[in-house]
Amino acid sequence: MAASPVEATTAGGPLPPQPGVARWRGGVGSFVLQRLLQAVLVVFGVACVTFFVLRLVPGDPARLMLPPGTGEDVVAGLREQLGTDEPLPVQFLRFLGGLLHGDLGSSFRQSRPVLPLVVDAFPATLGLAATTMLVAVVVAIPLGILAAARSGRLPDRLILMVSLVGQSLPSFWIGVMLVLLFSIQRQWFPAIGNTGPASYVLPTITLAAVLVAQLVRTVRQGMLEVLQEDYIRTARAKGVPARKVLLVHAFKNAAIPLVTVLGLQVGFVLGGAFVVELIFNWPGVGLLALEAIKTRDFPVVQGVVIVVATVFVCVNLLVDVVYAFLNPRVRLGAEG
Amino acid sequence: MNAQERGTELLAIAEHKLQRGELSRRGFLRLMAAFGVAVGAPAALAGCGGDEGGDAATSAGPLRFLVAEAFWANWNPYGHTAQIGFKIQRDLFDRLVEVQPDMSIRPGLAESWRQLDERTWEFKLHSGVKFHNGQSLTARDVKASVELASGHVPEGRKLPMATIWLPHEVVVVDDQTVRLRGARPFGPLLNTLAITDICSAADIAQGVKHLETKPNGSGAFRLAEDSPNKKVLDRFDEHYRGPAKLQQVVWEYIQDPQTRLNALLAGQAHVIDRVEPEQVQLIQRNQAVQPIAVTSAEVQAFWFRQDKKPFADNAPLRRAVAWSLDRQAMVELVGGRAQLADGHFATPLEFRKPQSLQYALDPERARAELATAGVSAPVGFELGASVGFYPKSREVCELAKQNLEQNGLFKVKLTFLELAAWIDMLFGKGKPGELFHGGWGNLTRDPDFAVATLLHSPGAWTGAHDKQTDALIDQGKTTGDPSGRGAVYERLQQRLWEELPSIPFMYSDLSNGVSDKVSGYALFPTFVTEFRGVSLRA
Repeated sequence: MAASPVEATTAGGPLPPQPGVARWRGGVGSFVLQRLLQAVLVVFGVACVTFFVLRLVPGDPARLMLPPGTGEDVVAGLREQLGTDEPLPVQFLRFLGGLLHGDLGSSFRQSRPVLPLVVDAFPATLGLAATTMLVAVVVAIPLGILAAARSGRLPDRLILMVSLVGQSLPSFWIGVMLVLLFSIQRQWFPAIGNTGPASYVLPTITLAAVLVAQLVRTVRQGMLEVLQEDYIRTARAKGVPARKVLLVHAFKNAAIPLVTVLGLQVGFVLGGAFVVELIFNWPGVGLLALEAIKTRDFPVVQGVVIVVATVFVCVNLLVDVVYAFLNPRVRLGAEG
Repeated sequence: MNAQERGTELLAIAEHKLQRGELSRRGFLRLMAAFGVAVGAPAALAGCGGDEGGDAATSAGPLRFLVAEAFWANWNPYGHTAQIGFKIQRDLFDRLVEVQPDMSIRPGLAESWRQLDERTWEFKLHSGVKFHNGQSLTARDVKASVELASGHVPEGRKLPMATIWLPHEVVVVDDQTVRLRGARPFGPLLNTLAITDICSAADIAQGVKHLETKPNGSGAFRLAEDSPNKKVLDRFDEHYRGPAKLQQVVWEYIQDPQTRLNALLAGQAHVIDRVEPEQVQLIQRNQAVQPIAVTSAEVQAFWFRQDKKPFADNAPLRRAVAWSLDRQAMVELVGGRAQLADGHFATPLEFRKPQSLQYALDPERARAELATAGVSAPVGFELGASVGFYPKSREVCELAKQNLEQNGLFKVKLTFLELAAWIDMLFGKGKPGELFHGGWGNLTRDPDFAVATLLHSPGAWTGAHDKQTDALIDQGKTTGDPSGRGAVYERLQQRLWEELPSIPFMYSDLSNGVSDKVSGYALFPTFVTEFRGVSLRA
């Protein structure tokens, strides 16, 4: 696991070449392998939970695909065709068998393999998530640094207040308000769909608003702690320009916890995309999953959840590796 | 006045001031933010300048129609009862006769017809009709279509739509003439033909699977793009009534009503489906769009499960429930063009006879019926309702529970479920619940479709099994003479109103939102949509 922000920042300071690096390099394989195994277990666990939870929820996919009042024999025939008539353990084993071969099954409704359906929808969600992360980082880092540099003064208080508001407002409210103001009143940006770069503006702001607020606080906190360090005081005493102290010496170490937070926020962004995709009719996996849940299209829901979980786990694996490079405590811990 | 009411009042004053220019928009927004008005804000904002022009508005292009129901039906026109299927098929296929927005019938592919005897009808077809694949329509296509839809051929018998037809044999007299001969007289024949899409015999010969995947009608539009949530229909230039005015219609499924409304108000959609009554005023305040509304042929009711206690075989107990409900208040809750139900046949239906006795909230009559029923109060039961489908269904059912419990006669367990779980509750194993809130529409003005599917045993949704009702439904279906049918349906409505297999409380509101750029768009009480005569201004 990544170290806490406090641990990370107190470990700070420019790192001289360490013998540990060479040793870690020797153990990089086992570190990554360990994380990979954990990742596989997490995705497997998510797949199992999704499979069983879906089947515990009331709603028979076959009955939903047929007109109300259709005879039991017809419904039973469709159940047989879909494979939902078999005992749960048999269905589960078949599902696992498919999963091992990379087969997520076929959509009940669309009679198409699930994987291409999810792969078709995923770029839209990924694009939205990427722009959200980018905007959040670009906005949050300067604001966080500014707040820390002017700690206790007006800019700091203002930034903290705005970030508190950003964290308090629910995404759906922000989304609806943005649509009312900038799509209906002004017609500057599209209210629905993904028709080009302009379409990204409102959904991105909706998703980024909460994220920016969290990141600003993380950066500010990290910077405040690093700015108390001796090496910063030394740098200032040596006459290093204030801007360089802030942006180079201090931010370099304050950024370490940010990496962890960003990794974890990928989950928030992907989860938040479900709500935002509904508000903006964004053609991503969120919309696909919501419709599949409504119609009890089990394979599609499973496919979306597994793909999203895999992406989340992979990003966090990447974060762990990056973090290990940045923070010697992690790599030493990995060796131990 | 509580804090919420004070907030609402303040918001109303602020909105008024904003409209009169006494308050800046920024000031208005600050006020809204202060009160956290998430629900009221859309109404206020929409009203404060929706007519302001914008550059991102729609350009002259395809008409964009946003629908509320997923495209879950396949393309076999006889293989489903999905409303969305009937809607889109209207433009893809043609029928021998066509239902109009006023529910009347006019000639379609049949330019004329005559009744030869009580079981036989002859239809003369238009010449020069072509299917989208270029093949010419002949009497053989009509024969294949009607025989499949009516269950005359074995493959058709398992299809759900076949339940409303009586099997008919079709004789091809010549290329342009067909004769339909039913096993018995079939009263709803013309209205049923109005929902029987004509497919090509060659397509039908390839089997149901082929019909399910490749729609090949002769309608004014043909399917150009078929993705799960979007269907693009291109104009069919060789349509027998001349080409449609629109070059292209894009149907898109958007499940959230607020998102559909946003798209319309932002100029990204030209027509939106299933506008909720409370959204109508938002549309009215915007000068670029307008609402259109009708009272639909859909009846919303409380259905009793009649294959289990306490309501099975106990009409007085069912009437006691009816005398405990404030149905008028329920209609007012929903608003719009919703109307109080005065019988089991909705207002646009033929042979409708309003019942003079009106069930209303009357505790004394409820108590008297309960005494006749031979059960002691309070009678406990579970009321199951879906949420997110019928506007205000939650509020309506909460009111019903309050009505039923306020005099100590009933004890109600209220169960709200999303639609899939509600359907499971209604039809699934164990059959939990004793009373259900739901609705059922009619595709034509003939009442047979609704009563035959819902109330005839076996197969009635809630286990209704009244022999007299069954006999009257059968008689109505197999009586050819309209005056005779009128008499039968009068008795049927009376019987239903006394026996109360369900308590109808409302004929539903049907509202759409339409851009001012659109002309010629009409609303059908049957929820059907037709774009052939519609045009779009740039």
